[in-house]
Amino acid sequence: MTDYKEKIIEIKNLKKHFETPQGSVRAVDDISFDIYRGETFGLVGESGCGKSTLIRTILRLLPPTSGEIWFNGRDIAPLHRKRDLKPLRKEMSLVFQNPHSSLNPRMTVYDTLARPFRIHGITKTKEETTIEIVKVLKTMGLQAEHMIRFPHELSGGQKQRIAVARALAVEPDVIFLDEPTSALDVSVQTKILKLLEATKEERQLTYFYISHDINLIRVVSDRIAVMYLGKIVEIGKTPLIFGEPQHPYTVGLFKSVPIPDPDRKIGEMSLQGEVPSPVNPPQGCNFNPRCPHAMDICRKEEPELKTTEDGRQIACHLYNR
Amino acid sequence: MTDNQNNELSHEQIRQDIANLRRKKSSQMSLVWSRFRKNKLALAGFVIVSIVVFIAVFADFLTSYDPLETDPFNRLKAPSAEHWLGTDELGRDVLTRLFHGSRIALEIGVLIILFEGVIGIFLGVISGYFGGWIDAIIMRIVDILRSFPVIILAMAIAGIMGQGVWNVVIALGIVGWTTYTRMVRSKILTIKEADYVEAAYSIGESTASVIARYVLPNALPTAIIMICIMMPTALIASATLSFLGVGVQPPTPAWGAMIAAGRGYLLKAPWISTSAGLAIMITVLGFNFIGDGLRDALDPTTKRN
Amino acid sequence: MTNLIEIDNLKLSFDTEEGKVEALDGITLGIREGTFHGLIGETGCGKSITGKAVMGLIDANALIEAGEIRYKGKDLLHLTEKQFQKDIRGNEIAMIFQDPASSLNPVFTIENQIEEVVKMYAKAARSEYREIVIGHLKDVKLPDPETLIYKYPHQLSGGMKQRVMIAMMLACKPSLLIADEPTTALDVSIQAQFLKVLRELKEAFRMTVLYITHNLAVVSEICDVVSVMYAGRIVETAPVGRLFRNPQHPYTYKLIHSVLGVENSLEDLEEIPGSVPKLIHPPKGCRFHPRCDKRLTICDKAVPDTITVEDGHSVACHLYTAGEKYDGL
Repeated sequence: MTDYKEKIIEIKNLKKHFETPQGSVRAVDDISFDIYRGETFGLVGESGCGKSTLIRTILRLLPPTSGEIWFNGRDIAPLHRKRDLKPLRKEMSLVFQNPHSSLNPRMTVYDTLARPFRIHGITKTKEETTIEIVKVLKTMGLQAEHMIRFPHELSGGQKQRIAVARALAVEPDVIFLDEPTSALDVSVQTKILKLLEATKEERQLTYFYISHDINLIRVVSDRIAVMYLGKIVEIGKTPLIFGEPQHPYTVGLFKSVPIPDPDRKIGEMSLQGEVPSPVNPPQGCNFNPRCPHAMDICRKEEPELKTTEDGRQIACHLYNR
Repeated sequence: MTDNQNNELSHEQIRQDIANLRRKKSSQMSLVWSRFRKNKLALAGFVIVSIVVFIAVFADFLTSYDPLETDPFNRLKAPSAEHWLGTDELGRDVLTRLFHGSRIALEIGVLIILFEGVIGIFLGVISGYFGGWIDAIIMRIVDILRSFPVIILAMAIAGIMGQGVWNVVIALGIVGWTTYTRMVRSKILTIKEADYVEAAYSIGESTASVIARYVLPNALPTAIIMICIMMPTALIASATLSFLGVGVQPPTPAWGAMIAAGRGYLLKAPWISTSAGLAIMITVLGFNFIGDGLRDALDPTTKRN
Repeated sequence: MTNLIEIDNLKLSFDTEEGKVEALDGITLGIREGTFHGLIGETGCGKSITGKAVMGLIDANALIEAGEIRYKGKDLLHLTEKQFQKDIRGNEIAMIFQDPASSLNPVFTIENQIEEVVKMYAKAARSEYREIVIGHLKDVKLPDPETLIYKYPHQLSGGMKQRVMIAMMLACKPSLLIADEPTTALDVSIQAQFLKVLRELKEAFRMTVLYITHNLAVVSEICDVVSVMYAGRIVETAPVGRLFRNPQHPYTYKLIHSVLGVENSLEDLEEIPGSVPKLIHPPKGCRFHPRCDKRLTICDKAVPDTITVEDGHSVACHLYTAGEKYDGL
């Protein structure tokens, strides 16, 4: 397992809160972690944990409430002018979850892929653009003739390849992938994942995957982070976290995953209860009401994310002594 | 994936690809048209409206009568070989007046739609896309205007401004744009939330570009359909006004006015009011059929009940 | 043990703008009483349509070309809508769907909705209704049922709504439950809770379930028998253990080996070349043949018969048609 050394993204105390009539939703609640150049970083969490909001805040599609986002040596958190943000769009891009809605139905594949090249001046003439588009289509295992198609004429897998091609077209350093295969059939998923791997090697990219599919994250990531109700509860190298999960939420979550083997059924230790409303998170550690090991301190004090001996980071009073 | 032998794209190949693209775009249009054609009602509507337009354009040549020429000796004559729809209370040929009335009807209809449409769609896009206080202000204005009784307001305005086609257009248009704004705004709100809009921002599109390339093209079908659906409303509203004697003045042949004029003779000479009423109804139906047909042709994915 | 439901050579097509879609082509399926029968397949294979056909819920533009559906020996295909409503739906066969929000009425409380069902099917006095409703909510392990009954659907999470659907189903005591992707929209931990409840109910009430899903892991968790569908046909049926350990059909084999389990890596995963065919002009012969690496010359000419390879294990593939068992998939 390669050890990635150079940090490309450093998140420090990032917060993103939404004000709603019911109260303040702390979608991203004081999160700090780093991403290294060349790695695949996987973030796993269930719906409502804030992972979608987190990557959109890092991408600066949303302005953070507070905190720092260091990217390629500068803090991009305070930027707000369109012209300051535009260069970022060339350095980081996003692949969306739903291939059926992330492509403009009124634009052909050509139009959709031409835009990133034209916006950032990567190509100057129509002919240059066409050449680049054909190149990126071929990278994605598609043919030049797909250029003239409209999204509704393509299958789910093909649409998602176009979405990835679009993300590649800007020639980014980092690609964020929001559940890139969850809307696809199993037989298509494998192809897309392998294609993404191959592309990452070729172009020396850094990937940030988010998913609720724990097995997916396990298979693609070098390091995994687990997110619950706006907070990161555990981070570490994949074999470590997966082989020996420690945080009670991580443990419960991993145990809830059904295994495609009829002899191995989900045991008793899976998670109980429901995720609390993000408008009204519990006091202290926000997992304490559902935690089988909750102690007094868990109800009063929020645990900090601390590094432990085996190299992982964990936010839990059981381990933060 | 194995590449073609020839990695370099020849200029010829590129030109071919770009030509294919252009052809593809226009084939989209013909696809919509073929779907439209298959819908019998829509086709009927198209035929009806085409006929009405033809009549409006060539009204002068279709009959030998002058719509304004009176003939006191031939008043209230029943339909006959010389006067296919009879004569009215001043002896004028009803059919001729009907034909010329179509010109007035379509002219006013188109002007109303342009006036209301331009204002309404523009404000709808601004309101829907930018939200916030702009949206709040525009929607409050919409609410206020829509609480006015339109016809009465139009009468008052026309009363102040005087007769004439343009005054009818403005009088009705002052309130009429609100329908467009509401519909367009709600469509924009839906589009705004679409993933592809967020995707556009994520690759670096500017706001203007997003509106032009991503939002408007997807709102276009709605706008087109709206125009077809609003035509009947415009026609009926202007007919109502001319029925009430507002705006278009006699002796100009307007269908609404003809109905009003024929009112006093419903038993003796029903053909005056009836023919004008039928003309309005048929034209309105035609536009309605086209509107429905267009909606189905542009978006065949919506299930019909 | 008898078969509660027998589907016999069901052929169903749809008339669409682009042509005739041959959605189901000769589906034969038998569901034994007391079993959880999984129906698995990818998008467009026809599994949802099969479930709806049993309930009489298929679209008006669907044409039933051949076949029979027998429930407890009685024909279902030719029942009228009224007969379905009166005799079958609810008290005999119940169905739950992927999105519980659209099955629950937003303007009535949970109590009201379950009560409606109790009224229709339970022989009890009015005063007993509340107790019965709370009883069913307890059966599905919903927390604090005494307060839950006053809530409205929007106040419940997705997982809770699904369990309310199960509670409603328990109130009408059908013999067969058809579940169409009930956990696809749920988080993995909620799904685990739901599956657990379903397993417990299976023990307690000896339920018969047709479980429709695309998720192989869920199927292995909860089903006894599994039928695999591809492009409108059933390609293999087997007890769940045998299906996973010894799949006979090339498609089943590839499917099982392309699912991410807990131990495999990306390189281990199988790929199936090509994509699912459109059912307007489906491939001739075996519909899987264009993508099959074990293809024989006969495969694009003749539709394979369904052969029983072992007790309870049948497969539709030319590798077995000659009566020989093909080892070494």
